[in-house]
Amino acid sequence: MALSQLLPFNENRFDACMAYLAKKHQRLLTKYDMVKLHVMTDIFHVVEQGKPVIGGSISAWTFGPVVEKAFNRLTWWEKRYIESGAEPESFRFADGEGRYPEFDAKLDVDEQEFSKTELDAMEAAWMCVMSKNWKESQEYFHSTRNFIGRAWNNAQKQVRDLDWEEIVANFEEENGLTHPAVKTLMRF
Amino acid sequence: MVGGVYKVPIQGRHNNFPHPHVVVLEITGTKECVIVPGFSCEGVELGMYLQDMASMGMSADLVCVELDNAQHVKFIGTMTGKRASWSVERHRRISTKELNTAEKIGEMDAAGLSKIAQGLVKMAEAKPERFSPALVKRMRQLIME
Repeated sequence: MALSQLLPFNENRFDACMAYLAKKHQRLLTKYDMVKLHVMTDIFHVVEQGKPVIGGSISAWTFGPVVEKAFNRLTWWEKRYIESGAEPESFRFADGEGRYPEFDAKLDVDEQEFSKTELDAMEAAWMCVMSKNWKESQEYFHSTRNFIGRAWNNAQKQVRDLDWEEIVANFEEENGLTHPAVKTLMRF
Repeated sequence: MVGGVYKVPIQGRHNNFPHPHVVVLEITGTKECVIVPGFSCEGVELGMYLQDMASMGMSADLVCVELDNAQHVKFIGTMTGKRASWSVERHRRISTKELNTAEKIGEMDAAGLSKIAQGLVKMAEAKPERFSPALVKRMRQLIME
């Protein structure tokens, strides 16, 4: 049986992680940036600690891996803003370039709210996601040449969520690592 | 909510059955709770976990707090308590909204909770990189209360 969820999606943790990263790096974030930062933060933490930072099942959507509940949360923010001008507690809407709105963090999140392992995973996710333009990002998340792309491709073919055991096995293979304890920890 | 024992559904784990977790701390500002899972001391699953922890240099008494649930947990309905290991190493943050969807199966007393909080602080002292400083501060306050 595929191990699809290690922790239920924690919307408050999602907001805190995204606001912290946006403030730290002084960047506006798109919906795409946030859903990918979420996925990669959880992955980089799971491969080391066997548990995610934010949680949720990762779906194999057309534009790559996404936690549906995170996407729905951001879509709801957008809808409410368009309909009534109301903004979420943690972000304000910025104009953004092109068709996609961008979010500006207004929530100040204390770094002390995160463990060192969580901060490391968030930073690794930032480096991975934010260093790529749209085309590079799409190639990365769909390519069978890397661990996450392979997990996404298999999930798409089998019409299921991404399997955490596969993600970890692919990651370890790609990086020449063996961390057998993580596989037990994920199940515990 | 603190002290409540809930069956939290975590898909893919424990043969897909919801698993008992105790709420050790409620973080009202962010509407989150810190929960710790409990396991039967006789379980195979626990043995495998402790073996893996040992391979990572962490002893059983560091990662788990053993409690007699018959003494410390008042179960709802016909469930009875037995000796259990509460894994402070596997503590998790969960949104209160999510926890509210889980079935409440009992209530842990203050003495049991204090032991688990002490276990969390002990674990944090041994492995500080795994704990947020703010969480450890809250745990210390909980022990003092």
